[in-house]
Amino acid sequence: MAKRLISVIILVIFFSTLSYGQKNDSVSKKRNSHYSLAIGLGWTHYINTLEIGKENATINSAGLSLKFFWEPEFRLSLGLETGLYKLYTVKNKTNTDVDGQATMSAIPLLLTVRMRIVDHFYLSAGAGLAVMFNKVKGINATISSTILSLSNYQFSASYIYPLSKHWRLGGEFKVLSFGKASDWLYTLQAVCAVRL
Amino acid sequence: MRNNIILIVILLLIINACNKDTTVPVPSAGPNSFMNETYPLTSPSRLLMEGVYKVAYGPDFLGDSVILKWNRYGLLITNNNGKYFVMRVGYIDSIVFLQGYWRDGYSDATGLASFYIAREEGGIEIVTGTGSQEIIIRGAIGNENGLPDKPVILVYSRPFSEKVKNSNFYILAHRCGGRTSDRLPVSENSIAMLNYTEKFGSTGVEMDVRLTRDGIPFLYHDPDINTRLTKKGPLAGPIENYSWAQISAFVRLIHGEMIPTLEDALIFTIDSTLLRFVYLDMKASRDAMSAVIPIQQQMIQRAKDKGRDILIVVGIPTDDVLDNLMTYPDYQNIPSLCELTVDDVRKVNSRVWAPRWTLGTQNDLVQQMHDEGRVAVCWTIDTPAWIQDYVTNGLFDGLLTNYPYVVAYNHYTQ
Repeated sequence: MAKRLISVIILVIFFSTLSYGQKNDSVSKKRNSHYSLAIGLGWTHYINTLEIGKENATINSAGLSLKFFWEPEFRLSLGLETGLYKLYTVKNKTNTDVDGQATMSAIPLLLTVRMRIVDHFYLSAGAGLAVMFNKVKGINATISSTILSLSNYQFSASYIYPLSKHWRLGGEFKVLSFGKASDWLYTLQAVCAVRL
Repeated sequence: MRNNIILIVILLLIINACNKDTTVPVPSAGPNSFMNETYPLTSPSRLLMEGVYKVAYGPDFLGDSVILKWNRYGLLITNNNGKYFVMRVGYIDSIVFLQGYWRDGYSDATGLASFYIAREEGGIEIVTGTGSQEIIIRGAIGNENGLPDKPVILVYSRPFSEKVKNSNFYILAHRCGGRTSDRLPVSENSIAMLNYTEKFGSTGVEMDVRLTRDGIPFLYHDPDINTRLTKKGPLAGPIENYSWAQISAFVRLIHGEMIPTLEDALIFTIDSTLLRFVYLDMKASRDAMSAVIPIQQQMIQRAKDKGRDILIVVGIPTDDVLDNLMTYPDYQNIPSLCELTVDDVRKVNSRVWAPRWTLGTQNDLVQQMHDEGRVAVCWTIDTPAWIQDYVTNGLFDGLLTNYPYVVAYNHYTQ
């Protein structure tokens, strides 16, 4: 339920600000377009919806994101986003004779729209593919499976402060969903961006 | 503001529409049902109740007639369009009480059902197990867990015909007895389903056999681990990639059951059910014959030792499986079920020919199989009108279906 609430709130904020942004953009300023590249690193928390192994799951880990944006307008930017997120590691405690664990990680590839709401503060939403990696080791054998997830989304809010003409530093809070297994996570990352 | 409210409502509707509801709850009269106070009927009494009944009064969806047929658990009442009743039966003072639930197999409709047979309307004859069968069943049915409030009267019409009584017809239920997608209270391809399916009138089952990475045959339908069939767990991807230890540690079926090994499923079928036919549908992505056949042989011997008349056949769904079987020593003596042509059946000396139902009744070919001492069954037939047509006009020895109670009605009313 919490994940649904989060997604609803983020979507509402996003679409509200979209209409607000359109009104305020009626007086447009002509600007040159830019490209930007951002890397983020931080804490990731998997929203534990597992029904098997839930109590034995490690759901906090490090996450990495990488974004490339085309910034043609004052408010709206369009970009591609990827990253590497570990969703969970579950240790086997069903059979005490065998020791093993299963890990799920994901690399999303999302088309993202970002909007500047007020100075240095952005909201973004994205959709796209994800490749999910399932690795099980320790119970007789190590086995890896790769799964393609087609319907994946991200919603994020970020504060990016310009340090110089090219460099920016900030933080980002993001919710990611992976449709194949109905998995959700949120992540809080430090972001370093460069305007190319 | 108004737009935002509309947006929120639409989003909530979409999110709720994606909710997964895997079961239609089985209505129950609760643990303190008065049925606990009743006495069980003897075999002659039960046989006296079996037969075709006219629906003298009741909701339209019950149709014109139903059949009553006993099984290991109690009494099945079923009609032609997928409505069935699972009933407990007992008596007190020459009054026979029937209590349980009804379900529409083609939808989610369900409810409690409570009937009785008064002493002067057949109760005395049933309890004593002697006399005529002038039986009138009265009672009511309800919706979900609501009290039964729609009156029903069933009047005994006739016994099952001699043809039916003397036939060895197989009512074969898919996926160990029922599909998870039909929102049953137990998971498909589980031991719990094997234990459940006789309530639907099934006399045999099909089970889907796959092979673990370390060569253990187990039951599971889909190629991958998914939340349609399993509880959400840490494994994903092709299920046959994993070892048995990994599957048993990390995967549970949608209602929490462990995935069974083929061996455990067959032991349960032989030891704990009255099922007479097991069709091992080879779903494995690689050759599983060398792992499955020794288990089949052991289980056939087990059944023989226990005096069980049960046919356990290895399925041949494709040419590849056929070729694999033919590499096995003495393959013509391995009991098998061939879904291919009658020539293929003869080539491997299959005990059973099982064509797809869409090919028609094929009575001439079925007759040829009978003449050669083989059994012919047809898969997978689900539409009531087609089931009626195949039972009435076909010569098959059994039908594989997801709706065994519909096959049961059509078979027992012949």
